[in-house]
Amino acid sequence: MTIRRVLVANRGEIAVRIVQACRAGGIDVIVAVSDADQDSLAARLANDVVRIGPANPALSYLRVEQVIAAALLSGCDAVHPGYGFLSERAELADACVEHGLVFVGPPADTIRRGGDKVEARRVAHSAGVPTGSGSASVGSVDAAVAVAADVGYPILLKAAAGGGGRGMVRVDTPDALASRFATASREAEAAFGDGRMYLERYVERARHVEVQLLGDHHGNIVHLGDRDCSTQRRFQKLVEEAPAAVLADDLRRRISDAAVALGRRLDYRGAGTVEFLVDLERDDFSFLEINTRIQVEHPVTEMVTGIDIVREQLRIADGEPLGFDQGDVTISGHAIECRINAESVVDDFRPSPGTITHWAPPTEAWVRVDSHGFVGYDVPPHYDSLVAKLIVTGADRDEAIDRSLRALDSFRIDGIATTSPLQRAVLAHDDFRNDTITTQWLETTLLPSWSPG
Amino acid sequence: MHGSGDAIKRVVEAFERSNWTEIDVRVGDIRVHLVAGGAASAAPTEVPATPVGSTAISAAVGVPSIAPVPVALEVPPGAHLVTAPSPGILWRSPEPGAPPFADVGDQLESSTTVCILEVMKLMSHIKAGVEGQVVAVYGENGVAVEKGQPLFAIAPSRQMS
Repeated sequence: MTIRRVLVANRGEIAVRIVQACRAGGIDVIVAVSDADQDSLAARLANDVVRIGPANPALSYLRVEQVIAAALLSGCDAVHPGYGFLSERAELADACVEHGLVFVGPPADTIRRGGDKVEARRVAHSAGVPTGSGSASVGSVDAAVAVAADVGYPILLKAAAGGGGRGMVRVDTPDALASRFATASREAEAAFGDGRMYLERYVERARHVEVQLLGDHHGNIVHLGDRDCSTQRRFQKLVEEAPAAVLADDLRRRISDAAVALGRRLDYRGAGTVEFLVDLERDDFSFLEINTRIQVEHPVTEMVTGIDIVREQLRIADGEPLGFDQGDVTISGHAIECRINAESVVDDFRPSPGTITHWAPPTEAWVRVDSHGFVGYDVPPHYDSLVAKLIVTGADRDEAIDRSLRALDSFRIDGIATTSPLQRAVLAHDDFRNDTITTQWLETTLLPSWSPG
Repeated sequence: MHGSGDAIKRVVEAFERSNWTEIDVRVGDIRVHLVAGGAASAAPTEVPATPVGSTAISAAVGVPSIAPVPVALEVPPGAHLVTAPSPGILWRSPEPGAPPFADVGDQLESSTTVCILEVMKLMSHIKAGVEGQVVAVYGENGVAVEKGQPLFAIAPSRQMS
């Protein structure tokens, strides 16, 4: 490797994940921290930290110049943006190049075209990938209402710079659209530093399936199979699995072919994910978005392929060719991830920041926990609520479910409320076991019939 | 080489060839704070890439950005206090530059939104809770507030029994 020292421009569990990947690869790693994260687990595990500003992410993690200055001051030669924050801001990739730093991610132009969800729809269409009906970006409430009248309600109001389901809301009427537009735009501004919104037709009965891509600087693009992330609440993924067991072979192949076609059209370099809505009744699918970064749920793919995606990101950024081709990628067994968030399921998912007083993750051989939690850690109110990803593998889906249930039962976290009881209910439900759910299932079927605690 | 003279030089050079207005980063006991067009000189200035003592640093930045809670809140007799239901960031208007949801003198319904509390990237609308007139505002826009911290005082239109 010519990369010797990496700046992690992120926080939370993904900062820990990147720190560990760097250290495993013999690379020094420095973490950029806000005042709220000076004592984080990533900070403790890294070679050093650079302090880049106040807790408010707009004044720290979302400032390109602070990240670049932090990398230069700490002697780094590369910047890993993680997910969220600046990970899909082309300005950071541009600034890295300008200041002689390697950006661990695709080139700025790819981020611009893929990360801008409006442009991405256009590129996908041109690559022959099916896209549903929707709009270009809309700049005002009035414009949104006018476009929605054409697309038809219900619609989804989405952040052009979004991803991970943030800044995204289902709207059923023009009045609701008018009242939600400003808040949704501001949430997008707060999360991504970009308040532009667009509209998409809302599909009632769908599965969320996505394909992991890796591309190098030598023209090689492979996919690492698919993931199913249909268990969602308010477009926030709560349970993810690999592979998407619900897909028949033919549909699976068409979806991965579409993802690779889009990747080739973008000359994709680095790790990326192409998301689709799948309509099982019609045996059809349509493009949702491409995320030009590491994805929260990347571990389930790692567990069934044996490929360390963060390590591959670093190798690709370093200019190395992929060490394998499509034929070498095999899917073995099944993996399930539960995103354990600091939210109270008995109190309408109210965020639950606070101090962790007990922390005992399960330790079985088939369990992996990606987390920045520890006893005494103070989960701050300034950032998203993810505190742990519980990843469990099995020889098949049934075994992965059974083992996940036991792992959820034994994972004790005190001091903050978490979504763990809900994930237990999901995995224990026959609909999940039978794999008959849709993206609506959690909100329309499970939650109304479920009484936590 | 981190935090070394070379590294500081790279930061200063990067600043000089960029259109950045301000950077402020710290490694160990090294702080580099550069402000463009500073009062003292016209050029992208200076600043003391000065090593400062670690004690001084923790004193300077270790203080959380929590809004000071007035020692003795002036709560008019009989007023209803709207308090923060959890820690979070206080937003007094629906979007930057817009007028605040509620200000002193405003007449509110019980269901009127008085502010937004941002907690873990979720925006919660905080309601007045009583019908009445705003008589005091305690929190500033954009500051972090603690659970239970008073945000507004409202004089109820009807005496509550």
